Amino acid sequence: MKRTIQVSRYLTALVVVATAATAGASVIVTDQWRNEYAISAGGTLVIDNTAGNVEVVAGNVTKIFVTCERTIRAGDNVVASEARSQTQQAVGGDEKVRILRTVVPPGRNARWSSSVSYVVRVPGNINVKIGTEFSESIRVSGVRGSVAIKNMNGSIVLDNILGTAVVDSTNGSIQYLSNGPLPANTQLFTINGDIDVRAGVQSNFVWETQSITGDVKTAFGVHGGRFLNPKRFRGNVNVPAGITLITETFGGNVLLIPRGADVSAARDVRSMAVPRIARVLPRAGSGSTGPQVLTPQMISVGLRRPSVAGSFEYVTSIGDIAIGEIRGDASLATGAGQIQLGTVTGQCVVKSYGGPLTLGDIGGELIARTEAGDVVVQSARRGGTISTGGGTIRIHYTGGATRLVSGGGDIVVRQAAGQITADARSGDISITIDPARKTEKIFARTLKGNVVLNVPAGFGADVEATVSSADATSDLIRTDIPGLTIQREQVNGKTRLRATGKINGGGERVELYADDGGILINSDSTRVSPMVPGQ
Amino acid sequence: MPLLLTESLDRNRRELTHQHIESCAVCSEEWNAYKETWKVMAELPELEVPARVRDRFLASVDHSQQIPANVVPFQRRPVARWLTQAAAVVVIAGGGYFAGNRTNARPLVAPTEATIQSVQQAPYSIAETRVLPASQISPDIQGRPNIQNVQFHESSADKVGLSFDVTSRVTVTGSPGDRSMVRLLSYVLESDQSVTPSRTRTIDWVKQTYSDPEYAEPEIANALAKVLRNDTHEGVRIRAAETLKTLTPSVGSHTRDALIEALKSDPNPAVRIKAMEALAGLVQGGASFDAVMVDTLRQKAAQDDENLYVRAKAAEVLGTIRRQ
Repeated sequence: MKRTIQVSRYLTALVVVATAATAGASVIVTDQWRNEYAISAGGTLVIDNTAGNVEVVAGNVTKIFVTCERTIRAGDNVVASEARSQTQQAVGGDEKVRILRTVVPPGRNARWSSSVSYVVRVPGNINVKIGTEFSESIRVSGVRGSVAIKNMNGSIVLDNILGTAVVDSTNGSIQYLSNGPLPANTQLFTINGDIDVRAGVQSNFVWETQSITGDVKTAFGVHGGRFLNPKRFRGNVNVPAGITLITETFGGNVLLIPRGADVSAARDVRSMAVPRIARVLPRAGSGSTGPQVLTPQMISVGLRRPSVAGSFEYVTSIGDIAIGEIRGDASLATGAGQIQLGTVTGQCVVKSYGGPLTLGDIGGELIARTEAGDVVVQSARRGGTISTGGGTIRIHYTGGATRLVSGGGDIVVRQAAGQITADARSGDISITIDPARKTEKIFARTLKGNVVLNVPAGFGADVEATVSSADATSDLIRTDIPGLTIQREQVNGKTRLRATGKINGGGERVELYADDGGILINSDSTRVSPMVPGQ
Repeated sequence: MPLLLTESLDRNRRELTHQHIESCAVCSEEWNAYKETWKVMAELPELEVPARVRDRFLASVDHSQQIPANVVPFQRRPVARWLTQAAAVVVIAGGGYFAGNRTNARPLVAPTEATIQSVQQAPYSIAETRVLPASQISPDIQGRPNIQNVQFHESSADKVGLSFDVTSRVTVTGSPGDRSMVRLLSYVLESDQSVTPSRTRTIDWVKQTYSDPEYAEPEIANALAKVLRNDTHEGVRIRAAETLKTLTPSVGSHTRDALIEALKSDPNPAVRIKAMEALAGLVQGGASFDAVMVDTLRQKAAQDDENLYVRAKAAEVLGTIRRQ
């Protein structure tokens, strides 16, 4: 590598500060070096830093002037010396691509920590790429070329960047400042940080933005705004001229205002788009009725209450719902989050588009649905419909006709005092009939797994149990109840066993289907079957 | 044993040899030593013999080229050898008699009744096949074992053989930390069974037992990771991921990789949720984020078509990243 160092001089200011109060370290060692490197117009400066702040300022210069400060925190001087030797600055590349890199050993060292801060003065006509993991801040100002920044933690400020800008942060907030109109395509992305964009009032661009849990506000006049999906908004600021601004955050807020404007003038973009019709959510007490409009007022971030007197409806776009007791009907929905209810005296409709449902004693009919996650119900006294797109359904007691559907996962009913319809795409089904029931209509089907039915002594039923499996030698249907006749046949390369007959003189129809699994019918529900999945 | 080692025995003799080794502690020990040596030899690098050494060696052993034709090889005479052996016997016996009579204190050992202090029982082997002498089987058959696939063998005039498959219940007791118990549970978890409830129940039991940090076992966690990766039964995968959440102290890199893989690509959202929660538990337990984990979490948080709950959880876990 041809080094083009024009001037190389180390200015080392070694400061040893004995302080036990700072980050648990008793020794803090700081040293500094400065250097300058040649870079061509249109060249690229790359800064790859693990921990430490970075500031890049464009000015009227033709070279890169670097000031680097290394800070070591250690328990004693010996360890500090080791840390210094293992935290190094490396310079590479050439005039087209100049690389400044901090080299530290991978992994965490419990005895010391180090950080390196860079202050770099650069020509304005270069591109800048910065990658850091942990820093308090990254700031780039005055660069006329493109800027790309990726970091884990720490705020990012872009000030008067004239080229395209791409920022990708995990937990950092992003601030983009432009004295004039937004000059070029800009993409700002953070997962847990806020985004704040301030540009000249004459800016013309297409704005595409979303925040999953936060607010999106602007003081610009946005035309033709619409939601591409429930969260992603797209609209035009003034007259778009081929420039696009994308601002995306998951957990933060987005603010877009003209530079110098008052923040309080910003409005939520939801008020700038045609209201979107939410998916149908049945109203409690009225069965399945018309759709509700998901208005901004209904958006919140979850709810936690010990009790509610009377019927209660609540919808949130994202967030958990936890209520100890509802004395009346309940109608609750969350776009993403778990729902926990203690007691509901009336009808209960709960819906989550993702998240587990944990329900206690439900006095009325229960309609519970989650797109993803487990459903646990202590008691559904009037039965109902319980489903999950993927997860385990576990019902400790149901007193009425109950329909259970799992898109993938086991279904366990520990005490069924009503008709059961259970359908699992891939999972075991285990149903234990209430000891007091003499007959009950049961339908259980799994497309991959086993079906276990525990019935009380004397339980009467007309049974049809069908098993389909590639394993032709297995004893796939087992029961200790006499009266069933088993037929075996080959269907599409699989062995199909079909057991039919009346048990204990017959009764309601019991239909059990298991693909790629087996069926077990136990006659004594008080006995825990060896095949019953964990209850 | 060398023939067995080099796979030079025919099938019957191989089986008989294996059966003997299984029942004989001495041979079993010797066989293990053979195998270990064989394994070590296999791992040794093959070195090219230098040409000079090779030539010298061949020259030293190839006598036909060195011995002139007129030289008669010397043969040892048998009579002389017998005489030598007889003389040696006379010297040893005479010397022994002389030494014995010159010794004053002749130790007298009183004969005592032989007693067996303890018998070390051979470890019970859970093997695919075993041969038991009829004398070792109790004539009382307990319960009603399911005997199938019966075959008869007549090995000699007074000896017959009876082979069958039998389903018997074996109870193994021990501490959760016993190596044999850990191995057995891992085997049960990893076995590809078409009927899954027993495995489901095993996972539940593992969750209860090995979530205690005292019994943290990487081998158990690895076995669950294999279940998480390979089982086609979604209910079982859900339970595996759920159990791994509780085994965080014993989770190694293989298990963590399996969780990341499940989070990335398992089609069941509940598995992805639980994998996410398990990874979050790892981080809370002090595990460090690495680039793969961070990238996967970032990808999940930003993935528009991912379930929103999974995305929110990914963002939540990422939000806990602090400099360590």
